[in-house]
Amino acid sequence: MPDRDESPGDARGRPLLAECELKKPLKVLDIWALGVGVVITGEYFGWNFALKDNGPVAVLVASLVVCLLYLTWVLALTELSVAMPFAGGPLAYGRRAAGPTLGFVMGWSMFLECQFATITTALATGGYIAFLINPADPSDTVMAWSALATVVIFFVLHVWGVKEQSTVMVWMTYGAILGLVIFWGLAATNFRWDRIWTKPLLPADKGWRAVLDAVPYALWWLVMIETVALAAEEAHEPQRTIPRGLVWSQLTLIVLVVLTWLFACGAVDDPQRLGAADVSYPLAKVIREIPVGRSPLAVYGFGLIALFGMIASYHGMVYGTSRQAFSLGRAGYLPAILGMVHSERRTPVPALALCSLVTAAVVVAKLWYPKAIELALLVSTLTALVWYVLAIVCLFVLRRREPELFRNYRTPVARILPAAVVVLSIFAAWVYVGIDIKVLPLTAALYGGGLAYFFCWSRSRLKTIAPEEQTARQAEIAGES
Amino acid sequence: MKDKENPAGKVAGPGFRLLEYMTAGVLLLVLGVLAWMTVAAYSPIAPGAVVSDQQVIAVNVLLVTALGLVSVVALLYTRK
Repeated sequence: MPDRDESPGDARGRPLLAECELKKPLKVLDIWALGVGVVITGEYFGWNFALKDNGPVAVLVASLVVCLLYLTWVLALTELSVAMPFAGGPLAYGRRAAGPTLGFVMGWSMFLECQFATITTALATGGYIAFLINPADPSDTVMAWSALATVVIFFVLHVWGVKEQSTVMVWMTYGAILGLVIFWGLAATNFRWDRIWTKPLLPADKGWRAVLDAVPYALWWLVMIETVALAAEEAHEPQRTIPRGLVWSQLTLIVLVVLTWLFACGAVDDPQRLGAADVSYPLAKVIREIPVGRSPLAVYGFGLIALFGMIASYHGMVYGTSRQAFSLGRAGYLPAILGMVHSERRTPVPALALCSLVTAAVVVAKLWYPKAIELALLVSTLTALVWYVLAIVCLFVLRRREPELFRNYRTPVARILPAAVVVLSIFAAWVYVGIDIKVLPLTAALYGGGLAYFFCWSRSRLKTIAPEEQTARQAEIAGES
Repeated sequence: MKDKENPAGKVAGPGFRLLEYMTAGVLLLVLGVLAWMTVAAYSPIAPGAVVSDQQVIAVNVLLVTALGLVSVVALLYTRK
């Protein structure tokens, strides 16, 4: 481990900071593509688990609640990300608002969110490929090998460089949207309104409870949109590109969510069957079950294009996970090696390697634990909610203490909108209590392990040359004087 | 909303402020409805525990209205 460095502006610090600095090539279109691309996998799978025992209308209500949560969240988050455009967004917000412990908890939460979302998407990508190879009986072994190949390919691509990957991201996002348009067109050939608008609208035995039970899975529609905040350090004019890119990506996604839900649920006789635990390729399953799906062209054509959606999201999720590990390592909260970048390409190779290795390990473990996708999805969404609430608390603290920090951008509906994020997040987190899966113990263990590392090792070894630490310490000094 | 709360300053006319107040009101209404929904879900004797189609439709309309208002405010706010 490196020595503790107590000299924020010294001669040693500046070259090291320059060595760990990222490029700034991202513009509005890149931010839009990053925002849409990173979560478009949510349209292709995951949300379907919400259908089980709840029905289509409960999923619609839950989805609209989630859309509202994320629309308000990205607007509030933009205020923080523009004020502090660092790759380690939540780390910087928590560190500046309340010190290193909150900074670590928030950074660790987002790292867990991104890592488990990456795992979920790698597994589902493997599932779609296995479905393409044998639609009648997808093989677990093929799924595992396909997922591992995805992990390796995108590790290499990310090591190659951020500008190249953002260009790829834009084109894959277009492909993923095209895939959804094709799905809507195919599903419309077998659409019936009465499959969605059931009598009664919500299951009689559950009532509003059906909506609550659907919320944790509906979160998967849009979880990780906030990854865009991590791009602020790499964005050109972040005060303009970040809010515009985020708002447009969010509006695009709301349209995609509603239309995908509508056509998926309206095309099959029993939409609740799409919510079975082993269905990690619901849209492909819909195509296969409707008359137009008897054509191999429809099944294989859609399946191939659907891979754009999975890969586009996986691509963005690796980006988010590696940048979070990078920033935590750069600031000394995690092993310092994670904060290193390639000397020529300026990409965080050790952080990318860690993210890819963890994902690969869980892909292999899925062979013995079939519910791995569902569990990873729920851990990702729950850890996300934790840092959403904490980030808004930081926003209110910093607004009061350092109002000049937000001179470049302030969210509209300045008080109620962030407060709505907190209430909606707590509302969503509350319903995890009733979920029959081991998500709460696993999440608690992950936080316990992270905090143990922080308090026993890294707390006394933080590196003041990291930009998150430097700006926080300068603010503390200014406040004292 | 006061001017100092809107550093962009470009869209802080009376029309935009009215829109912001309307959005804030609808957001508060949504939060109230979610609280009622949670109580009704876990308490069979609470008002609204037996869900009618009209209630479901009303909740959907309210959520869509909130999404529409927040979207319009956000787009006006981020235009050049």
